[in-house]
Amino acid sequence: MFQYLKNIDFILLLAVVGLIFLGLMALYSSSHPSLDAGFGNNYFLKQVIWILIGFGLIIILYFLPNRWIYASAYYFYGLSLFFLLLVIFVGKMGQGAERWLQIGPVSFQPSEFAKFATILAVAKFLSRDEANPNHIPDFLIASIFVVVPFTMIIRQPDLGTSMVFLAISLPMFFWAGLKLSNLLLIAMPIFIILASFHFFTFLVLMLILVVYLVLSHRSKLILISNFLLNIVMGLLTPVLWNNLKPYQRNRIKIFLNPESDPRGAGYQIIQSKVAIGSGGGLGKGFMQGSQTQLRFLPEQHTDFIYAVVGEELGFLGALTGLTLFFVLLIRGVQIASMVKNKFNSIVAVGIVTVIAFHMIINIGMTIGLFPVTGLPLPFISYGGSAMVTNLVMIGILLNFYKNRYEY
Amino acid sequence: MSKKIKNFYNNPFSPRSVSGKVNFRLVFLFLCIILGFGVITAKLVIVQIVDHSYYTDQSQKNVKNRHKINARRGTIFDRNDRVLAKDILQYSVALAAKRLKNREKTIQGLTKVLNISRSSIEKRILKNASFTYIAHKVLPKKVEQLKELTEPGLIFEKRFLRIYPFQYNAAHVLGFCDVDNNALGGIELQYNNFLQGKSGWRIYERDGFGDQLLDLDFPGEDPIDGFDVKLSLDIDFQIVVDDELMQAVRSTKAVDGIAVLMDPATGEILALSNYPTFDPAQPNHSRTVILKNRAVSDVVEPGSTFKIVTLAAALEILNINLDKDIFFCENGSYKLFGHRFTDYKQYGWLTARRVFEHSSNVGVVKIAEKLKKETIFNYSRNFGFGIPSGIDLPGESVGILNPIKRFSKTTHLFMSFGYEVGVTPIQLLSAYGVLANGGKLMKPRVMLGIQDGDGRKIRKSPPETIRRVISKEAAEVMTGVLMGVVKDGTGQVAYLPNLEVAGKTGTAQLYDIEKGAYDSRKHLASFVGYFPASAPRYVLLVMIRQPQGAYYGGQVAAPVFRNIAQRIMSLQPIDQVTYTGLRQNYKNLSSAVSPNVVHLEAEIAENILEDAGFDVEVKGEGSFVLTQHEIYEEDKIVGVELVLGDSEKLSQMVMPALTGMSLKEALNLLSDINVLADVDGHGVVISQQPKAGSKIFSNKPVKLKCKPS
Repeated sequence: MFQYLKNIDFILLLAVVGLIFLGLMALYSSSHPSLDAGFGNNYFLKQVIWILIGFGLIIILYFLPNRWIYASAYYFYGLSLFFLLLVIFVGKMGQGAERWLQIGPVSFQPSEFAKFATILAVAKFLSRDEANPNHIPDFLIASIFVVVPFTMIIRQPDLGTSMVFLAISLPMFFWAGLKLSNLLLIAMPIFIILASFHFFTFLVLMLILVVYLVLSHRSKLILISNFLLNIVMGLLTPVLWNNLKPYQRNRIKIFLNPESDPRGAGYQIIQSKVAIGSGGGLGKGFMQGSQTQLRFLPEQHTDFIYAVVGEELGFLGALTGLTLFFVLLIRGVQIASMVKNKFNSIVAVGIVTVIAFHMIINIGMTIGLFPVTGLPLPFISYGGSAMVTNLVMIGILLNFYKNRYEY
Repeated sequence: MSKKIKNFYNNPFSPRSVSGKVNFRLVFLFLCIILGFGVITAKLVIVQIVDHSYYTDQSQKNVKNRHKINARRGTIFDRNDRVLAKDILQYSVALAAKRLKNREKTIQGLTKVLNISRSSIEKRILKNASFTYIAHKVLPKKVEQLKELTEPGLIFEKRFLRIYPFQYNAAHVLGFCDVDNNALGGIELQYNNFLQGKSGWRIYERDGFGDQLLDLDFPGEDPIDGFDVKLSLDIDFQIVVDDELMQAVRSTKAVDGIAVLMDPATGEILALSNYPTFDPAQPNHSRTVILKNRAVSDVVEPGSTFKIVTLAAALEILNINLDKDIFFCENGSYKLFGHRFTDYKQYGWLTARRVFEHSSNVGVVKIAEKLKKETIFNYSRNFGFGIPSGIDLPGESVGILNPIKRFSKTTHLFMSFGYEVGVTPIQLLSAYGVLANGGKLMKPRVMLGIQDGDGRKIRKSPPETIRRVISKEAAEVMTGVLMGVVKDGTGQVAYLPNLEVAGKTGTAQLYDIEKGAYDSRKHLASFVGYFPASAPRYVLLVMIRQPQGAYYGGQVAAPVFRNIAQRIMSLQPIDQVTYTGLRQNYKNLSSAVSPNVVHLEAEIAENILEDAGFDVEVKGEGSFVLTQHEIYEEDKIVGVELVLGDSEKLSQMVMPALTGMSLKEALNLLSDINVLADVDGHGVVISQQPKAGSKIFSNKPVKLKCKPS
């Protein structure tokens, strides 16, 4: 018995439990039945049920033989692609919300499941002894693992979630051995696109690129293709931009600067900032936040739940949440460096990245650092699919920790 | 280079490689995470600490300028979709004089449309030129007219007023709301979550003058209207029950009374009445005691009506033969275990059937002596006593049924005739429903369905069988006994020649808690039964508390039961009536009831009766029927005697409930009974003076207040 207890990573577990507790507090406050004489809703109870299911899965995963996770990686991936395909199909039938899949009485978001399955598949592919992400074939195949679900989700359309797939791939490639220089090369087009509106910046960036390409002893094919890709991207972007219809341009502008649209996407961010800012150091008190209780915050139980924490529990509460996330993520990276098994290590980095990306984008959104993307805050936001997926990932990390000496 | 990477793989991911070099990938990841947290923490500090006061101002402004928009509360319908409670839209009109574009035209428009004197408007503007209410409870139609002025200085605020078109009828079922529209009783409270809807909000910014302008930067939220609730009540029946109960309580000078009518097959409550009653629109005009729905909350010792429990047990456990087994009733006084059981009348030997028909306490105790106390307890429990009936009305009591271990030697004997047990009227009614429903206990209920504004069903409430209490055969035998009670026993007053009634009287002494003894002058008179006995469609309970003078259930409650039963059956369309061969015998009059033609014009009444095949005899002079009497020959109706009078004698009539009717309907009805109307407004009648149920003095016109629906 004590043998089992010794192998449980209590640091990770306590951080997760702390976050869940904080989340339940905020959820109760933002959806309790007496809220402004509205309909009562039972988000709180539903969430508790999902949490219990999640912890049930953690226990199962904890005792699962480590090799089973490795063995089932591709099957999971295939299954998740099948679900995504089903969403597209059912969506085409005009069933309404395209992100959801209804199985019996439960509806879930296959895209949540796909995040986790993609991590497993990429990790399995890159953990082969001969795999090297610096080699173009390996890099391309690993990228395909990511791009397939990415394209299926971006057409749902769910830009936020699809970005997650791009975001998790780079750290995993990096952890599996991708050189920093190659990493920057891959990320270069993004910088070029951003710089393309300013000709001088664009020129400087291109010059740096050329110098770098010439100095790095790479094959001519790579040199030329990379240079062409970047220059085409850079020159094409302004042309594309000018050919967009005004409303399309407007959408992108709002995406980049939400405060230019105070009634739409900007409204949420403004109100969220007002909520967090008025919370101050110690907050207005549990269930005392006027922004929350008077429903100034849309989506206050899902996307903007961190604003509830910030308003009612203040900087202290917000920082507590951040600290718990910090402990969780650092511990996750530690586990990645602790385990002897390469697959486990890459999966751990993938899991840490997914959680970190969600957290940074979501919290950044609530305090006005990022535009509204609709990514939930792990362990805090209301939502069954995300909660269960996140707890399953914690279960996997706990399993890795238990088996950390296994090759 | 590729070899180096290979090495890295072979010794993967540990903080330090074998050569002691720091794993730069790990460090890079750590740095990324720390950077991310650093940026977020810095921004948090700026928002929460540095700019705290700015955001606090913003949040306080939000709160101050947030205006709640009330949702329309759902409508309550009876089973035939007649409106029992409804929110009607009204406006409060306000004036912001500083913003007035065309002062003269606006004031003229206001005086014309709202009938307010010019001086009073000007007086109010003088008091507060930036915002002043001009009128409340303004109808939408008038607001439309005012909106045609397109005056920015006029402000219209939506308000909802809850109206109860039938006023006193069904007040205790419907319940009521306080001034802030918080539900406090009845269906209003029970289904408040569905009825209340969800309020919305908008932000109004104050400009330099302190005027309120809609802030377009806030999307706000639209209110969501509440759902409508459909009840099992039939307002026609409810009016009858209310009326008869009121008359009975008044004429017997009783403290109060309860009457409940239920469909035994489904448990649907068709009418539920408490008297004294109240006006749901003005609950604070009545004492709180009156607001209580005593039909579900009062716990009483029922007395003889409880004897059905003993009878059921005797039939099923003792296999008693009602006509052969006889019991000695000790000439009205029986001593046992130091207690004395007494009857109101002295009886000697009685058959079991007679024991129940004459309601002999001594006889019932003799039967109960043969039963185990567990049997009495179990049958009581199975009939639903000591457990909430489950009716969907707030404030239900459990009643009192002691656990067996607290039974004394005589508890089950006292229980056998309805003492040492506490029941609610609704429990007692449900128990009689068991007999009327072939032995099955149904859950009593009031809500039939909940629907949204477009009529889509949100929730349905199907009939719910709680359990089988007695066999079908036992139920039939017991119905026979209860019919005997009405025909030959204590309930003869409830006898109707053309309607088979099964029922039981009850007369219980009330226990005075202060004195700690039964008060021999205070009684609870009750009658519970069902009709038509051969195929029961209605089960009805009548309880009158502390009547003055006569106090027996058979004298006080039975006539109320009879009157309600008669009026209910006469409300039925003839072709739906299935009882006692009425249809077949309709033409030859052998055992039919005559149609109720009271208060109709003489000519019409004669036509109706002659059409139905009755001979008509007319007495008195005048154009209206005051009363009607059936003429019997050997138990058969051969004709009807009509007593006529002129319209002045109609003063004995009572005013019908007009509220909720359209004005046209109301005027039609009033002209039928030859009453003039004094109309204010148009549309739907929202109040009447004199009120429904008061006596009519036909020379005085009825004042009707109407509002467009």
